[in-house]
Amino acid sequence: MSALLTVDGLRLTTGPSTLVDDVSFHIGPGERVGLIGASGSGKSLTASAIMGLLPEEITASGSVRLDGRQLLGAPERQLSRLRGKDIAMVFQEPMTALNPAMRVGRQVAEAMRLHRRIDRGAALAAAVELLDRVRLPEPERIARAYPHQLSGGQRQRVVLAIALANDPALLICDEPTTALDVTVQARILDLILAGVGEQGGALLFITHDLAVVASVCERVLVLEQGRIVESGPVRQVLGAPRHEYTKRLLAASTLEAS
Amino acid sequence: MARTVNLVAGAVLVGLVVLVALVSFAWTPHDPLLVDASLRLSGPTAEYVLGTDRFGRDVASQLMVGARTTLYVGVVAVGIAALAGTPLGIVAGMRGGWLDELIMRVNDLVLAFPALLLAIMLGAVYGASTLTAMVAIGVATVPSFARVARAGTLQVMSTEYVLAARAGGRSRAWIAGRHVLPNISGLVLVQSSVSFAIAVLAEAALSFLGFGTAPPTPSWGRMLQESQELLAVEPRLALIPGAAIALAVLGFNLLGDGLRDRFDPRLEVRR
Repeated sequence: MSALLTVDGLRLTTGPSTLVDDVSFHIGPGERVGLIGASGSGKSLTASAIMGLLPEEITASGSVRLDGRQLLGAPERQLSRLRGKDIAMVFQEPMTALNPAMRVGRQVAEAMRLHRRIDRGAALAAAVELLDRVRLPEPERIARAYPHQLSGGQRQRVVLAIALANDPALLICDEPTTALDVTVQARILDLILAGVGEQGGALLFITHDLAVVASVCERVLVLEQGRIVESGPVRQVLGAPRHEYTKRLLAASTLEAS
Repeated sequence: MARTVNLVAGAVLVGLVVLVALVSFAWTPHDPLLVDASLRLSGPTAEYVLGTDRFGRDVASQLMVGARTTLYVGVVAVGIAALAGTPLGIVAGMRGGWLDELIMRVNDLVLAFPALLLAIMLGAVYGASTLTAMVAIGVATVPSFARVARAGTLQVMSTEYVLAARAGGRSRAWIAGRHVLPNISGLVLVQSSVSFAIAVLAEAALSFLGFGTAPPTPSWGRMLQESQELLAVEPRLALIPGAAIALAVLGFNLLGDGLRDRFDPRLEVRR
């Protein structure tokens, strides 16, 4: 089976300091992979590197290939055609992911119009359909609403709808449920799974919440200070951690849960 | 509650000035320019509600037509400042780097230059008129708009919806028009109201100094100037335009505060 995404020897540096060092992994088509680690371990930076959205002051080396195409150092034009279409991303904070001055329906439609030649009316109709797909009640009404009129959970559903707008082959979720309360979390996770599942898309799920990883992912990568210290099937890594850091991470999360 | 009071009080005062200015186009109690020596310095009567000045002109009528001048100067000056300052601020905030540095340093330079001095200079070169006063006040107000717009732009540019638009390959102009401008328009509106108050005051000061509206066009500032020799004899002539200026400035300031309370996202959370 050829991998959908292959990250090989990814190294991110800024000035003298190395932020991510020799990170290699691959994600097969339709595979769900978790990326866990404490704050500052380089999880989000790895995601940014895959999306080609690194801040200017960070230099990247190594290789990131999607379907055999090299993404690292690819021209901006080529990347912008890919982003949102082949790879999409769900951000952590639904508050700043949506434009407060634009109606929700138009924002979802805009995501489609970036990559497809469809007129505004058709895009808006498709947007309402998408809002229905993420189980928003009364999608027609929500499409006409502004973001501040929605709850946090509803907003994150809209963000998810935008990410799923073009049926991406790879969906990257960067702590998509951290800003939500626990009951809403579970529903959003179900929707993410359903969303990628329907179209056979792959998922890279970034979180520091081990319980979430256990329920969502098949395979997991543990990142510590920019290095992958352990990887394998979820049950194996979380059930019988071999690396000291994973053990500590597990112990910390058990404490948190009790 | 208190915030709504600001907004309403401001809107009422500003509305009053606008109403008076509009009515003055169609009707004034008397011709504001008609000189009648027999009526010099008449106190308030049924016919001349606010009395007459030293040339026998009706003060009430002058006040009404003066409101026109005040609004005219305010609108044009704030218009110049907003139309020039807002795009400058957006460009500075979006591009960053040396361009940002250049725009903001020139901005500081203009900001350091007193508006009245600029107006007096322009007046000396091109002749004192309402137009030079408006341009001078407008140019001097550009920096405040640029600053507000830049600060708002920086905030918008750090959001993920802008990141998403950039990642998807949208042009800078598209992002500026669709994402940045709609989100900073509240800030710009608030700044407009506050700047309007400053412009009204500046116009009055310029007319008082003889660098603003030229006679015989009535202006609140010039009414004040003409009254100064008679301050001891007829304080009414100074108090009436003075009160009009104070109320108009207060109105625009209250309106600005009220609008700020409505638009400031930091306050919105608590509402």
